[in-house]
Amino acid sequence: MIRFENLRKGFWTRDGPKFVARNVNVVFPSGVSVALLGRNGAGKSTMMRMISGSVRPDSGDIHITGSMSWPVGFAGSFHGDLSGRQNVRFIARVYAVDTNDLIDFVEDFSELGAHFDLPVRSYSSGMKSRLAFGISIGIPFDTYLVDEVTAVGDASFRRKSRAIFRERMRQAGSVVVTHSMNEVRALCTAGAVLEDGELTYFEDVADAIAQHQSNMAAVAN
Amino acid sequence: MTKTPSAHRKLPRLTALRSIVALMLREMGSTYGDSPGGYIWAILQPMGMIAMLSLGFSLLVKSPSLGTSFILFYATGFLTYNIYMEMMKKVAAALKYSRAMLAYPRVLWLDAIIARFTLNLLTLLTVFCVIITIILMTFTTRTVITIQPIVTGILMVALTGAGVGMVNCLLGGLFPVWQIIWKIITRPMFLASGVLFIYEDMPPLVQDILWWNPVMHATGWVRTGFYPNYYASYVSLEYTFGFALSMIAIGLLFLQTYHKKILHR
Repeated sequence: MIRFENLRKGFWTRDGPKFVARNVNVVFPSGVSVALLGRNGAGKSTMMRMISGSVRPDSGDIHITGSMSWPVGFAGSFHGDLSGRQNVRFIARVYAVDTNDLIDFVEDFSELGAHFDLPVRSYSSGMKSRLAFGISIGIPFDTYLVDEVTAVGDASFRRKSRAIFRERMRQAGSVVVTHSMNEVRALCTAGAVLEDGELTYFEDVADAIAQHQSNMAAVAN
Repeated sequence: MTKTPSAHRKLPRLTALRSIVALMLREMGSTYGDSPGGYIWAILQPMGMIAMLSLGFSLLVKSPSLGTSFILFYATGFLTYNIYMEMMKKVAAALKYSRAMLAYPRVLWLDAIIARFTLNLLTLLTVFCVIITIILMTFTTRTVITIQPIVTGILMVALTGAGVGMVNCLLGGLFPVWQIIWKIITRPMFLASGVLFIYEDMPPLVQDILWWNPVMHATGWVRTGFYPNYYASYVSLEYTFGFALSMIAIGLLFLQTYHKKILHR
């Protein structure tokens, strides 16, 4: 469960103050896959990082039950000089999972081949995302934070990713950010729309998409 | 498709300890793991320095300030100074060094600093012991070792290095120009730390200035442990440990507030 309590977060930009959250009070239930929707720059990634704990809110709290992944797909979460294998080993140690199990799983899942033993700095962005998704989905978390990663790789890799993600979702929950509405429908059962610092939770993802699309249409006009 | 790793449903305990050990293992793997010869360089580097100092000064002066062995005199001075210098540099760069790893919410900034301090303390202690042992076994030094001042001196200099390193991590992170200023003002540090001489060799005016350098106290205290007829009476444990612990306190206090700003720079 993720419970936002009087959450406030804002930034100063050149055009004046910008709010990611103004007094947000929302609950995401446990074991539910929630799509986080909002226009570009609404603060979806900042929200994800606040949930993961790497960005602090200005005021208010986010209460979390169970273990939480880091935002998968978050740029810069690999050490460029270490190989994919060494990065996996580091994360396995930190998150208390069996190192060899996780290495075997990620090596097989990410399809990096010989690149798995080369420095991550030599990877393409697609390869990095495959590695990132493989590692996080390989660790049993109670809630996964997924930021635009299921949309990487070729069609067969995407199919495989979706399948394993759905399998995980049987025992876990997630918060997913993606621009593809097809992904949203395929992966999530609930949705939340972030608009001008207001976060609204919808139990049915279709309602969230409708709300999001009407927000987008309002801007277009 | 292979099976996903087994699910522990419980939150893992001792998360900080896990992060610290993982960071230490990773630093061990990348610092010396990649260069041919590996860890042997950690010993060869200071050894080369001590050999050069002993050789050079044995040509210039008749005997070292204490005892008859040039190599033991410079080793006790340089190795102590080296602990300060390495520790200071490593801790000052700790956040930058582990930046990629700090992206994981479970790895905290303090873990990065503790990991760096612990691993480098172990490395530097090992280097100290190995080199001193080699010297005592190879050369006739007629020394009688008193262990207590040596341990206190090393602890003193390691904590000073960590404290100064943390404050530099803070200031250098917030004001990049500080790194250049620091380099300039501490350029004479090697000369001012008593590697080449002892405190008592200096005229009173110089003594009054050098007394404020905690590393000067540490080299004197370590040598007190190596030379039975020498006692560094100028050493103040209250001053050096007070200095080191205040630096650490200041570093911890301000890094808690500013570590994000430093990392995002």
